[in-house]
Amino acid sequence: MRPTVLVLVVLAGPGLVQAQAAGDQEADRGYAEWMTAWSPFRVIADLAQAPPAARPLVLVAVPAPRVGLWWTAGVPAALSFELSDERSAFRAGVARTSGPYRRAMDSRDVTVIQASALAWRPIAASGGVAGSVIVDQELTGARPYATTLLPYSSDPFVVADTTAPGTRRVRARVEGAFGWRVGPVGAGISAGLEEDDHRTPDAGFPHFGRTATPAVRAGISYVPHPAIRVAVYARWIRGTETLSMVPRSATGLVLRLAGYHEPDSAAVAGPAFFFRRSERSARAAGGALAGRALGIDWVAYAERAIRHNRHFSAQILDPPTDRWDADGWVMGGALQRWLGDRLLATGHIHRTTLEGDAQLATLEGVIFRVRESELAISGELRYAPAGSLWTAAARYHVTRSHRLRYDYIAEVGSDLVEWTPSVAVAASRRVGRATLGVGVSGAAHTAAGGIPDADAMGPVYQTLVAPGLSLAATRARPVIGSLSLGHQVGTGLTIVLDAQYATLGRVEPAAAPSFTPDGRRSTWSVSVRVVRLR
Amino acid sequence: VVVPATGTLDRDIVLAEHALELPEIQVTADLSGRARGEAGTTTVVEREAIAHQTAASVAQVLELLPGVPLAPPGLDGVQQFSLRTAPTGAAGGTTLGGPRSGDLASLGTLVVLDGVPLSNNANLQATGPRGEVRLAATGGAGIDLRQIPASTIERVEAIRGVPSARYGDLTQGVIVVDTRAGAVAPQAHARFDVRTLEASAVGGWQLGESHTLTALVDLARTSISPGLTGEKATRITGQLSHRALVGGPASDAADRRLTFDSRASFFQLFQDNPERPDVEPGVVSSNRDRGVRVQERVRLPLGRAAALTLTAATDYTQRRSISQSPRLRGATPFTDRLIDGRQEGRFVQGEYLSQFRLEGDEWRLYNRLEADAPASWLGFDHRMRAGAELRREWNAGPGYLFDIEFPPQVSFNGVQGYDRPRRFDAIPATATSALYLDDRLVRRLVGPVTVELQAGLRLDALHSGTWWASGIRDAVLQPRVNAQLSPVPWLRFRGGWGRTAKMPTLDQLSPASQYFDVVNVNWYTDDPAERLAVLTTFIRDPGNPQLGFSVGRKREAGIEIAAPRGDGALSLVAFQDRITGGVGFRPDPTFLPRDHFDLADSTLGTGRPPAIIEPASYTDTVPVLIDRPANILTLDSRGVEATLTLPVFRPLGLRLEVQGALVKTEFLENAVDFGRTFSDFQTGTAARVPYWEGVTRTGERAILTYRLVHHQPRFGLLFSITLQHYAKDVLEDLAATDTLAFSGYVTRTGELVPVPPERRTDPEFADLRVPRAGIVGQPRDAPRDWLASVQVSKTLPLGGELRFYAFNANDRLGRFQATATARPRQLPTMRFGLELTMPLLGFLPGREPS
Repeated sequence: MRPTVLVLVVLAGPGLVQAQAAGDQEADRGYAEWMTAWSPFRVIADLAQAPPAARPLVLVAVPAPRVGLWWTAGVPAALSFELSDERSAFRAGVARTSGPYRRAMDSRDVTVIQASALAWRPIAASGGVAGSVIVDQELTGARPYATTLLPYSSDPFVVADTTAPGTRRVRARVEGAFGWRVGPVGAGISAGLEEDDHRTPDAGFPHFGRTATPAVRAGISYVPHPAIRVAVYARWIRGTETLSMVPRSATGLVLRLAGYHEPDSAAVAGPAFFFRRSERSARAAGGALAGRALGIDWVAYAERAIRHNRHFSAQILDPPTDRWDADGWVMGGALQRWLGDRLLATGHIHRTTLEGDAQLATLEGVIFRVRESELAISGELRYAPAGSLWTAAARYHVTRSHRLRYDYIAEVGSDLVEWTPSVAVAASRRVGRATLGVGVSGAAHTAAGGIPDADAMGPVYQTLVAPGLSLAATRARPVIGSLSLGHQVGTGLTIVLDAQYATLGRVEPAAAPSFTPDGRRSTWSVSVRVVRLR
Repeated sequence: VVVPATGTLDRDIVLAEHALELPEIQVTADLSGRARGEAGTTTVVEREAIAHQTAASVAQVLELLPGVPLAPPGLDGVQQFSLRTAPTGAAGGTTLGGPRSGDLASLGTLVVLDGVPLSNNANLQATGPRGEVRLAATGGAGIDLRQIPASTIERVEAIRGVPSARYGDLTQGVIVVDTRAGAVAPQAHARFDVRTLEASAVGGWQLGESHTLTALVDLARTSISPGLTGEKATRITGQLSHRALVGGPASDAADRRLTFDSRASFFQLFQDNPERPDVEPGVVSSNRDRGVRVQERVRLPLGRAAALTLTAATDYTQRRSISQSPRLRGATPFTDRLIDGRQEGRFVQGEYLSQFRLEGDEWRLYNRLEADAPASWLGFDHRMRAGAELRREWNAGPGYLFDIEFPPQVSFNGVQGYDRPRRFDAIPATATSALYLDDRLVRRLVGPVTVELQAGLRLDALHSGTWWASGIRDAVLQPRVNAQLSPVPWLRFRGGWGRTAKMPTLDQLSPASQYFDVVNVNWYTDDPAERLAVLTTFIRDPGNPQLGFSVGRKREAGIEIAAPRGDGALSLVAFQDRITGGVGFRPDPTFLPRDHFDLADSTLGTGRPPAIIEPASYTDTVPVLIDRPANILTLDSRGVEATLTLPVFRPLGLRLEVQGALVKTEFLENAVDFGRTFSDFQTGTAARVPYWEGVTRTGERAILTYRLVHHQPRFGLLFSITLQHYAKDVLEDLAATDTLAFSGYVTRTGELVPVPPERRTDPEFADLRVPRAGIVGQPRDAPRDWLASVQVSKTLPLGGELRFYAFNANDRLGRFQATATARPRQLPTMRFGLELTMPLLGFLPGREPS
């Protein structure tokens, strides 16, 4: 099937303030995706499953999307060829998510306070730099069951327990990129470090966790012809997550999930404590091609990715480890063209495939197999005539994911194809030095396929796994509305107040599988941005 | 800028708002620098480097010294520092609570703050040799460096080599800390990480032409184990300093005016562990230190660059420690007698809540008069210094307080009595005085060949009374020499030798009385009314009139090579620091008479206790040990320190610095060891038990530290990665543990009878041939490992700076060994946070420093 290229687009404006991602997972910092495509923390060989969501579209003080080796494929070696402006943005905000329509290992309610900064600038005519910082604190109310930070990644090894203490999580991420060129040859590197500490502030069975994730991306680019740019690059991420649970005034039952079968459980009572270390190592190598023809800026890229996750509890030399090995491909492309001098069309297609096997330390052979793929196609039309007081945009985005997961111990599997098409429209108008913008987007999530009959499975599956699979298999309708008010306080300096509200709930409640959560889940977010352009 | 002889020249000059925007910036220690007026090996850390060190206190600034292990920033625990020492195994034997090698070394590391020594000599916050509860306090060891915030420090000089004769009361070396003073651009600093919050502000103002006023304030709080305990450390410090130049018109050169430097400072350092009723009911502990110091320094110029300087300081520190915990003891005969003699006691048993308080009020007076003058004779340029010091230290606190019936000890074997409360204000003050003479001389010999010598002599005297007019209890003469030969400007050969001396602490000079409650009658029945306990209390004074200074002997030799352009350097130093006569507890054996009584009316069921029949039916002896402070410890450290600074690789803005130290420390207790079964001997009937020679505990450690700094002045960006490599870490106890290792035996009258080695196999000594416990004869080698920390600093608008730091950035756990019993390498856990520094110009009055 030929991909449809004209329709697609990408693009988001400032998103909700969220701190759900961690370690080697992408984090939403409230910036458009193309602004952070260069991040060394872009996910490698993992397709974390997220609840259905619509994508916000914000126009105030957000430039039009860009397409290129740097802006789309994130190749730092192309930084010096594609960066021509200087921009810095600081953002601080607060968000709160609550509601019962959630998976079993999602926090019941979450409050996030977040500050971030993102900047880039060229260096003379032969180089450029970009940098980003994010700091946030996440307070969760009761966080039932999940102790692992990423309970819904492709890796099936998850630590859970039977207590539900609230958690305080503090995270900081620093990342930067540097690119330079000599004639037609460019080189670049981006590197980052994310640190995280999460712990239960006051619990009888306290949980302590921390993650540390360094990441590097480096490559070279070459311009053989003024209309063609080519690049190769490599990426590396190594994350560690350390968990411990200490019985103080209470004891707990720790569950080590490894798929759909009933897991091993261990009662943790003094003076023993529970310890778990996860070491996640992923690397990727890829190439990208970009150019301009017929007034169209285009880019295509492909990447091969490999991941090895190791999990262990024994504090000895060469401990027995549970293993998760995955590999996959990433391919995609983007196009952008001005239609006249008022309409900018941008399209993006992105496909990820993943194959992974899990092995227990105590068993020979594969116990859980995953075959997953995701295709995302988006297109945006932006009306942004020069000198006009108005800006408007419409975007269509569709995601198709196919997740085939099979547990060889329980001898059951799931095979689920999910579709999430979404539409977003937004408009903004300048009034003197102020700009007012509104936007709304909605999505319709549907799924087809099969998941295990939860009623025939064990109690741990019913409690921890079934709600997540049922939620993914249930039709849902997420909606986001946003309001932005900007004020230009100086030359190139704008302060923007953003407010967003998102809600998610299922449709046709009667048709939902058993163990599907009820009700709705909503998030509100308020943030302030300071944007400086030169 | 070359200005033409005629015409005009236009140049745009861009002023950097921040030091990070300057092309040259020193963010690590100057490893081959010299302390002011010192020729010994020194590490100098200037303000710029301190500002770029992730440090909550001066202890973390000292991580810039070679061989110092990195620690996470914060106020997590007591921070004591010892120069050139590797940790050894913990002390064992019969005496608990004795000083460890680290205690001895940190006590002998002198810390000088703004020209006045800090001292822990009068710190009595310890529970003594019989204590069963260890506090997070610092009695008997070095000062807690948490009380000195890094944010207010201008400069640190760590004199690792032989210090000049100006410095006394030390054995290891000197840490000289100068806080910020003078006209300082007002600046605020804040730190946020998961455990620590800190805010500080500094500012200095020129008031007219003759006065400057500087104010420093710092507030910090660390949650020590958030989520696990509620323990928190909180620090508040503040300082006001004023400088006045008087005695002449403002137009005069400064050295002709009298300079008054006045400082008043305050610190408060609390470490509180509140009760958690649901987890550990009844367990509470707290250490609360607060202090005030007032000091004045007057410098009188004498012309020709000579000067007379008087320094006087009064220092008061209040320490309040509380420890409370539930304790459990079996049925025990008990007496609360406070004087020698026999009395009827009673039985105590069961669980009780033990609470004790240590309340010390320390006072220190410090005075120094020093004259320094340049001279030139015998072809040498001289800088001579002569001075006299007077110190007096005492403790006026209420003391060691607890309810005698509910003591903080539960171990009682029928002989070793529980401790009794003790007032600190009854302890006599200590007075010391010193005289010193020091000359630093330089001469160019032939061509570029230069020789430099610093020689000095110091006499420290410990007075027998409480004032300086009293007699001399002990005195130590301390010659010190440093020499340097520089055949060419980029090469220096250096060497040093010297004696140093450290006075005993107040607690060692006047130790608490030791109580022995010998049980005469132990008649325990089911009916409490019929029980009878009779105990005889013996009080022994463990004071030691012979106790005196411990003496350090330092020697070192080294070579320094500097790159011709001055931006690279190599330094190698070999050293030996040996302390003899360190103060530890010497278990002196003796005996007590124990009367045994027959009982009358001992029939059960009478409802009353029996009566003892006088006189005693017989008397035997009970061997006891008096834990007497004595100059019995030897600490010998030797090793090599190396530093290498490579020139900046300018195309990438990279600089690499490598430093490391290999140190081997031997810690010997020159006293006999009675093993761990002496308590059984006291209460049993054996006629004798063996004793052994003291154990030598050794530690050998090699640490290499690599610092890679990337600087982009154009963006005001600084990235540094510090990688520390633990190349060697071995603990070993040197002592024979076989059944023939005993040296002799001790009788029930406390007599030591040596047995020659050739006779130890004789049948008559078969009862003495027992294995020696508590000694680990095999080397305990921790695996090699490494740890990396990262810092990224970026300038902000308005001259600010934002810094991200991550200690143990990739969260390495350390390395375990194949067996759980082998010694693992456990690394401190990851810590990360942000620091923000903003100038306050515009918010507060001030001007740039002149």
